[in-house]
Amino acid sequence: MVKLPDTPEHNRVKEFVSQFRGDKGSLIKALHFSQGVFGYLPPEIIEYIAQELEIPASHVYGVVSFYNFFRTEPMGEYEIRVCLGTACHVKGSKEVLETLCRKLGIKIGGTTKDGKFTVSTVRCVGACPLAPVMVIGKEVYGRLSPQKAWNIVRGYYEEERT
Amino acid sequence: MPKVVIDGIEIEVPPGTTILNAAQRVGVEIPVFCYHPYLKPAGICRMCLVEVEGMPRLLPACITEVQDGWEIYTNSDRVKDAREWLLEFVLVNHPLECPICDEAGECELQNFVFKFGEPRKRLYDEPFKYPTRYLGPLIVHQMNRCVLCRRCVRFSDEAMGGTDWGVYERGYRTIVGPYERDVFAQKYTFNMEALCPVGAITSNIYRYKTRIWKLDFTNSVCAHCEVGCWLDLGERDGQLLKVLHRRGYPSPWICDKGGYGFEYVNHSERITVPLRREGNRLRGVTTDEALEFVAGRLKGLVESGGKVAALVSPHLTCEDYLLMGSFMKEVVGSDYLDYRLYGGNTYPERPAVDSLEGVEKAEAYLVVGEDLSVHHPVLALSVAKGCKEGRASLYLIVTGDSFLFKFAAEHANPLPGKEEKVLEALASVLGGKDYASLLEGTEVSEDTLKAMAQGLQEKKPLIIGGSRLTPEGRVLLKGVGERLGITPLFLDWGSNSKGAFQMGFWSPGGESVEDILNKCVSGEIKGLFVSSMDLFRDYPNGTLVKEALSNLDFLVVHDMFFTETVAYSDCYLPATSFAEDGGTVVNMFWEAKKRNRAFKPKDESMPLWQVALGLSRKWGRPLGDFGTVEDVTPLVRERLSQVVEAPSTLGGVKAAHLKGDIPALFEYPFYRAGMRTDFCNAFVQLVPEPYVTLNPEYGDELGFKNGDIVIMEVDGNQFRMKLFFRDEVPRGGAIVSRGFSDFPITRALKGLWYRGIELRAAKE
Repeated sequence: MVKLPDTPEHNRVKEFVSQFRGDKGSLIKALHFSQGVFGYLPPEIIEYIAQELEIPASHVYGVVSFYNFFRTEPMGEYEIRVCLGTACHVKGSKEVLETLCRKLGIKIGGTTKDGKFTVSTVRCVGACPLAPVMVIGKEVYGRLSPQKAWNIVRGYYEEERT
Repeated sequence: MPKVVIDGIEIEVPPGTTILNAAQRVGVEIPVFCYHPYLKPAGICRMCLVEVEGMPRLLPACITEVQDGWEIYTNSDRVKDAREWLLEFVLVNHPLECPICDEAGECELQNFVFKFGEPRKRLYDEPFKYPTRYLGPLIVHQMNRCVLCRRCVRFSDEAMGGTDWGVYERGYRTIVGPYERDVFAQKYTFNMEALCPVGAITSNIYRYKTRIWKLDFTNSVCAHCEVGCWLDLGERDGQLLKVLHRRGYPSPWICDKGGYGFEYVNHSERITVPLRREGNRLRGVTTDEALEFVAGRLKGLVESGGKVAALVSPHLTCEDYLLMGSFMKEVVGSDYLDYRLYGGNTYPERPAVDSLEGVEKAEAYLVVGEDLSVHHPVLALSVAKGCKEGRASLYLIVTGDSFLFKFAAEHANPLPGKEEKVLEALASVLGGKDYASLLEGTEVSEDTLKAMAQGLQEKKPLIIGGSRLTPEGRVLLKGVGERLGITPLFLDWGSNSKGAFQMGFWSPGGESVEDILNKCVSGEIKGLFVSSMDLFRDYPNGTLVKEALSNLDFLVVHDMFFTETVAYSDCYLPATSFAEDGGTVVNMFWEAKKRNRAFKPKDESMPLWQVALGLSRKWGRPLGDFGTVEDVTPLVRERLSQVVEAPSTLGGVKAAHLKGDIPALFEYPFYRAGMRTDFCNAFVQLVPEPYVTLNPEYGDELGFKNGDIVIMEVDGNQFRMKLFFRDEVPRGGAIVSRGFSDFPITRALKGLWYRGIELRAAKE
């Protein structure tokens, strides 16, 4: 049996999920809400939801891992989304992505140790003339080279320092 | 009725038939991965694509229902192409490790590639590499080899109601496996291994032992419980290496005890020569000498006015009971013989249903007094089947049920020892009498009971009385049955209790095993013959067993291993396992089935019927001229057709000893129940030592933590054990595991499975 700690966030999840006790069909709703609270789905939340909805935790994890939207790792402060659409691909977005991952020391979908950046990919952001493109937060950066992209990301660190 | 033409063969099929089933009727083979006759069709793998005249695309045969006038081609060029492509795609990520894969030889992918594939590979890419997962002693999971048919996941969902086995990620990155656990052993794991069409899930026990085509398979019947599943025993060089369940009887599924619980047959500690006591030593002797010695001593005892008794395991064959019974009754002249060595004082009774299909058809179930998934696992699956599909509702009056509670409409989980009180209350509810006082101290609410009574009256239930019921409990349950117009199905311990009863292997005076052991203590019985059972492990009164055995003049033990009972013996005779000798066994529906010999008995080991025959010859009054077990079978058949009346055993059972802090039920863990499971290495690894389980809330109240070491105290005896929290344990009670030959847990018991215990934390 999983017992969640007594924090405001956990209590919100408990309150919401307990409405759907034994109701398998509410799984997505429960997951969606919990991710809204925590920003991701920690293992104890997955197990808690499984217990409340009376389904095996393996099923819950199956759903979590199926949908791109659900995450099992915490999100960084900034999400770097590198476009892998056709135009960006032709213009070398793969190198941009690889460079960023290497320099930040994470895999695609991962978050840096300091919790600053999460690197993910996106199919097209509709800014093909600017290819290759990446989006950090709400800012769109175009006409990138690997070096240029890294300079921009490094800029976020410097911004914090000043 | 739709008429279709399949590869030129015309056939008329009932509406709703799939193309695959129609093709099977006319004998046309369509290759499949994900389809399985006993699972719901899923249409996942696309191996079964066929062409239908006039349809633009190929159709999956396993999920497409035929329509009138269809012309179906299962072997056209388009279909052949599709199969080739599919196999090529599957092989992109499938490692070419057939030479070291245990599945090779029975692998469906291998067969299909051989039959339908093209020997070429156009895409040379690095295949996915997943780590091999050793999921405990039973199975190994190699994701590399998986073809994503999801049979294992569907079995887990459909038959077992969902376990820790699922599908993760999506598309070509999909993986299958457990989420939380590193050890996967869930009572029916064997079926998942058997269902796997490739070598993704393989047995850890059979790993790298031999090749499937080098095994000789013999039809046999499982010896662990009285469901009596048919097994195919795979033997090579006198070793039982693999068990299959090809013939799907009585159920398409079997449990892990049937599938993996055979390791004791090849155990290295097995003693296969007779031993004779000389002072403090046991010396190896020849069979002839041993039989001569035993017969001589028994004769001496009888002539000097002593009595002789025989206690024989309920897992043997009818032939064994028949000849041993004749030897004891006719030659020795003894009236003390019994097979009910698991304790309890009930005799088998004829049931109202005659097959597992009959069980599956019921509209409701009432299960009382046994965790079915432990002692009759396949019956539990049948009960779960109807409930899972929503056809039937299940009512449980079972302490600490570990599987069926998931499907139960109402689950009364009384404190240990109170099951029959709740049953009595249920009878009162049905009779319109006052019942509130009966529920006191059982931890079962009145609402549960009322709902249960109402449910039982609405639908016609099948009543299943478990092996824990006392004779009084059975009378109560029969009363409930009469009120609802049903004869209950009573279950017994062991795999052939019904046969032993029918062969008359019980004391004509109605003495129970406890009475016989008491007579050993008092000195009335001077000689005892024990076969194939460690009394210290299974009989629920270790103290009495010890007193009785130490008080005997002469003890013969016929067994496979050096158990504690053997340590008290004056003579040891080596026994055969269920694979080494044939015979007739009677299952829970009173059907006689034949066990066949898979290989020769090892060294000097002998089945019990041969021992009885040998002893009677040495005694000077041979029982007859039997050469093989088949010579005895006609006599068994004759006995089986007779009606045997059981003596009444009412009033013989003492009240459960429940003094002490916590009422506790002593129950076998799944992997410890059944015959000689403590010599199956895999099971020993899974459950290495006994433990206590408590309800988490109750455990918190008492101030324990999950995984603590505790001291259980009973009558001043202290047992040091681990404590675990389990949700299924009723609040205020405990469940203690038993079934360990190397841990004297039965010393805490007094003839019943309930006992009051005291628990305290062990000092560091």
